[in-house]
Amino acid sequence: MATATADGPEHRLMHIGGAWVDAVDGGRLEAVDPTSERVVATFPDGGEQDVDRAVASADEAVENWRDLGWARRGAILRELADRITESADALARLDVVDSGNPLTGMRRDIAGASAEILYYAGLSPEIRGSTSPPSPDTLSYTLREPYGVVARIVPFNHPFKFAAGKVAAPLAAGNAVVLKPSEHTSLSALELARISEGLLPPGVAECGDGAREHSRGGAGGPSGRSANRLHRLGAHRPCDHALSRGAHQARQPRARWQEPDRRLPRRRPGAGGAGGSCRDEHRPLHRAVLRFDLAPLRA
Amino acid sequence: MNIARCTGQSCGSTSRLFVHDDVRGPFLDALVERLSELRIGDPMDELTEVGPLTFRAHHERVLGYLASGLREGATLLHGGRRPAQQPRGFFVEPAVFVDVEDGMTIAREEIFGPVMSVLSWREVDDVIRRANALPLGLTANVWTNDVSAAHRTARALQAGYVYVNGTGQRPTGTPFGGWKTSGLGKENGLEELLSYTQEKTVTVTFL
Repeated sequence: MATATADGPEHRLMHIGGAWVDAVDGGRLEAVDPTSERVVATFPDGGEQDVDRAVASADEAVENWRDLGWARRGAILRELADRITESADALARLDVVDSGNPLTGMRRDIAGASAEILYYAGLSPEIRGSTSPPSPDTLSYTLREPYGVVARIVPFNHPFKFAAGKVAAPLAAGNAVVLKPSEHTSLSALELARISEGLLPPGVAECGDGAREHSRGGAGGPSGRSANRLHRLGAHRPCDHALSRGAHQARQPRARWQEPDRRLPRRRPGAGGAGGSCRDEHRPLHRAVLRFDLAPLRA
Repeated sequence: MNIARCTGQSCGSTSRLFVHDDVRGPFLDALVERLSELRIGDPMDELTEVGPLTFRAHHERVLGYLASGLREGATLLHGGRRPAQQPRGFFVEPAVFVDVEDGMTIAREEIFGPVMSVLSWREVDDVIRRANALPLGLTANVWTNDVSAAHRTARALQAGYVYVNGTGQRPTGTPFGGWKTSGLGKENGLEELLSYTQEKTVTVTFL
C-alpha cells in the first residue's frame, strides 16, 4: 500500500491491526536501489510504540486464529501460497530493485516461499502430544499449544523468501506473528501484507518495519505487552537488546541468541483496550474461514 | 557460492575452499575461468549472474575484508574491484584469494559477500581439523567421487548442514540450523513447527 506524494519516490505504509499506517512518530526510512543508488521508495521507521501497537493487535487476534484448528488455518495458508504464486513475477522484481539480487535467483526465492508455506500447511497436523506410561489410577498426556504472539526478525539477503517463508511455521502452529523485515529490504514484506489482506485476519500477521535499534521484537513497550516468543534469523551476534528492556526486564532472563524466551508471560489486553470489541475485531476472521475452508476440507 | 542467487550474501556461503595439493593448479585455473565468465551487471537482466551488494554499508564492509586480506599477506588472484562497466552501484567483482593462512581474518570471519579463499591440504585428518577450527558451524561442503570418503567426511565436519557435490540446494523439509555459535535450533522441518508450540502435560487422577 502506498500513498501518493507530489514528487519523489512513493511512500509505502506498514500493516498493523488490519490498517495501513505510518510510524507513530512519523519517522521514515529510504529504500535504495543498490544498482542505481537511487531512492525508490520511502517507508515508515517503526519504533517502540509501533511495535507495541502491533503486538497488542496480534494479541487480540490470536485466540480466534488458534481456535480455527489446523485444517482451516492450513486452507488459508494454501490460499496465501496461491496468491504469492500469482504475484511471483512482480514480487521477484521488487526484490531485485530493493536488494540487488539477480532476477533468476529472486524468482527461485518466491517459489521457495510458496513451497515453504505449503509445507507447513501440510505438516501442521503433526503437532501432536503424547501419553506417558500409565499408572492404575492416572492418565498423563501432553498437548502442544501455540505461544500466542511470535515476533520474527528476518535478514536482507532473501527478502521475500524469508518474510513469507518464516511466518509459515508459527502461523500454521496457531500463533499470530509480528514480522520485522530488514530495514534495507522491507518493500516486499509490505507486499506480503497486501497480498494477505482479506485472507489472514487482521492482527494475525503484522508487518512493521524500521531500523534495527528500534526493533525490540515486542519486548514490552508502554503498555507492557510482549511477544511470547522471539525468533531472529541472520547474524552471528547476540541479540540481547531485543528482549532486554520493557516491563519484564526486572524479573525475566534475557533472551539468548536465536533462543526463544519461553518465560515471557502472556498478557491479555485489558478491558476497553484499543482493539474494540471482540465481535467487531473478529468478524473478518469468520468471513475468511467461510470462504476458504470448504474445498480443502472436502478433499 | 550462491553468487548468482544473492551475490555471496548467504549464510551458507562457501568462502573457504580447501583444495588438495594434487589438483590445486588445474582447480584454480578452472575457478578463475568460470568467474571471468560471470555476467556482472543490472540484476533485472535475465542473463545477469552477479548483482550489486544490497546496501552501501555492507558494500563498504566487504571492501574492508578485501583490504584486510591484502594487508595480512594474502594474494588476490582474481576480482575484488569495482567492475569497469559499473561506475555506480554497490558492485564488487567476485574475488579469489590465495596464499591465505588459516588465522587470517578473511579465513575466520563471515564476509557475506563474493569473496573466496583457496587453501590447500594434503592429509585428510588435517584438513578436517582445520575446517572445524572455527567457532562457526552452519554449513560445510564436500566434493569427491569416493562415496565412502563423502560419508566419512560429512560425519567428521562440525556443521549443521553438509552438502556433498553440490552447494546451496536446500530442499523444503530438510532441517537447517547451525552448530556451535551459528544459531540455535532448526528450521525447515518438523522441529521448527514444534518450536512455535509449548508442551503442556496433563495428569488426570481417577477418583
